[in-house]
Amino acid sequence: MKSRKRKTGIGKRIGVKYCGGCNPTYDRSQVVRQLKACFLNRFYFPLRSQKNLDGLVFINGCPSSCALEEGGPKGPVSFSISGENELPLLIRWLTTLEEKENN
Amino acid sequence: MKPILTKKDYIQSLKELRHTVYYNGKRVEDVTEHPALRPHINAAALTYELALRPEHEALMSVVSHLSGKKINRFTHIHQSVDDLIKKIQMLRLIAHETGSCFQRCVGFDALNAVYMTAYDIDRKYRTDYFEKFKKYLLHVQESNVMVVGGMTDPKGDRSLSPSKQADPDLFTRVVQRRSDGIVIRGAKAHMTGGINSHEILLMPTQAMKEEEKDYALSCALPLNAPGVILIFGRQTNEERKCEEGFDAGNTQFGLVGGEALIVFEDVFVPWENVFLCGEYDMSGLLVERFATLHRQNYGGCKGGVSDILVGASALAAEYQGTAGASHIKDKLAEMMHLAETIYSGSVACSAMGYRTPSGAYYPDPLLANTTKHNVTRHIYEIARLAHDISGGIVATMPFYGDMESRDVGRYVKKYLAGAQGVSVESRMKILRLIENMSGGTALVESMHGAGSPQAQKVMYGRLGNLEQKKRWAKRLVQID
Repeated sequence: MKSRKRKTGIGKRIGVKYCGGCNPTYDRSQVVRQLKACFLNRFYFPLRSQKNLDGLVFINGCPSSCALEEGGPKGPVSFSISGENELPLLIRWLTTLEEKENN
Repeated sequence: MKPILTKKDYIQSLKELRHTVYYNGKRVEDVTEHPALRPHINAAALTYELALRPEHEALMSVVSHLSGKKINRFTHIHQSVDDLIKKIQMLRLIAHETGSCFQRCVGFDALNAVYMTAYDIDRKYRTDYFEKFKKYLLHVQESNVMVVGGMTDPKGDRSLSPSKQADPDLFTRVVQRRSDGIVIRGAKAHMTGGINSHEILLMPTQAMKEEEKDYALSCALPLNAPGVILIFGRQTNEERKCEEGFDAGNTQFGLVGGEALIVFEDVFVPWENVFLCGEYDMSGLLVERFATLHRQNYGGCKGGVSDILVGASALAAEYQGTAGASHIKDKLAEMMHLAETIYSGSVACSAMGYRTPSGAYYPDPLLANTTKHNVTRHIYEIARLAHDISGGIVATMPFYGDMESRDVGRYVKKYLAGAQGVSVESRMKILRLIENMSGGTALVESMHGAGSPQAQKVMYGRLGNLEQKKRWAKRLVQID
């Protein structure tokens, strides 16, 4: 049952890491809500601090990209955005992740 | 003590504190229920609430170098340049939420200053202040209490030193040394967040001489200790906080921090909470470190507050139909220029920070003083531009009560109409916000908080390296 779930992409855990939000140029929480709505029941979006992540998304408020960990992202595959206009790119990346899993 | 995590925990902890607070001559039984005090409590509460939100955790929380546990950044000792920068970013973030001072940084800076200096005192005098202070710090981190940074003494006749004052209590001092602790007497003035904090960390108000040993004092005590009395300071327009409606401008979070005169009437402090007592030659170092750490902040918090004033001014222009005028755009650009200038100063002094022997990191003092000095000027100019943009209506507008009045409300709504599609209520709210953020107490706090302009000028003389600058000039034109 578990392997069938993974094959179709249901239950994929994509960690969310925010920057601190000192001076964001857009509403970062709103973008994450849009993401969750887009992938409803297909992906889970726990916080970065949780374990067993299949992917990681960095939600930066501006080009300074403070959410990116030092030395570059480690661990699971990751994608970083620093503006609302990058949401379609992020959605495309997650969709690709899902398609790879299904094939 | 159960750790304080949420706003609810914080409010409850203040209810249980039962400290002795006076407002306009009357004792306040519950500070959380007083309409003039509640906005300041709401502002401080955000320092707890924002730490619980994932989208702000990176700035608001950090791992303690003492315990390895996650703590609120306001209880942290800076361990890196990154910590110094994150402090500034955090302050700007919170200012965006409150539009006002949120008070907790003073205690944050006191914790860092005393940490660094207790280490140095021990190295010189083989005292045990550093270990005692680390125990105290662990208590602060684990309980997440709010600490007042207690530096400024009332000072009496400024032309006389502490030991020469007609009334020796005008500077806080030790009046008795016992086997189990000390007894202190005096007061601390301009204590930001005093009435809604749990404890106070006292520091000497200036460098002390040998005859002023009793004034060379740093210690921590709870604000409900017997003999501690807090007298809240009057502010511009504070009666408005007790009214219905929006004439207070920032009705949720008030103006400035809410400062108190805190009196110590023979208050006992156990030795375990004493971190400097008589080592007068080290008092100046502690003062300078606290001052630098606190001046570091102003581009962060006042930068963030200025962001709100810029936004409000832009809205005021939109609401009255002047937003398209080139001089309005120019003035808004200048406001942003000044806000980013002060912010960049805070970032700069943090980026150029360095490690002290204690292991704690410390911002560049010359740049920190420059930042604060810029704030003493630029905030006034930002306020002036806000007034310029929003117009004379800021100073002449009818009451909220007039807008709501059955008799004259219709006139207010008719004659205060601005751009189409904008309600008069929205226009009045924004104008009241500008009025309250840009006058009186708010401006004075920007001038004198963390030290007056003259104090910064003294530091240019000390740190400005004038002799080296003269040598460079001579070298350039080949003067021997």
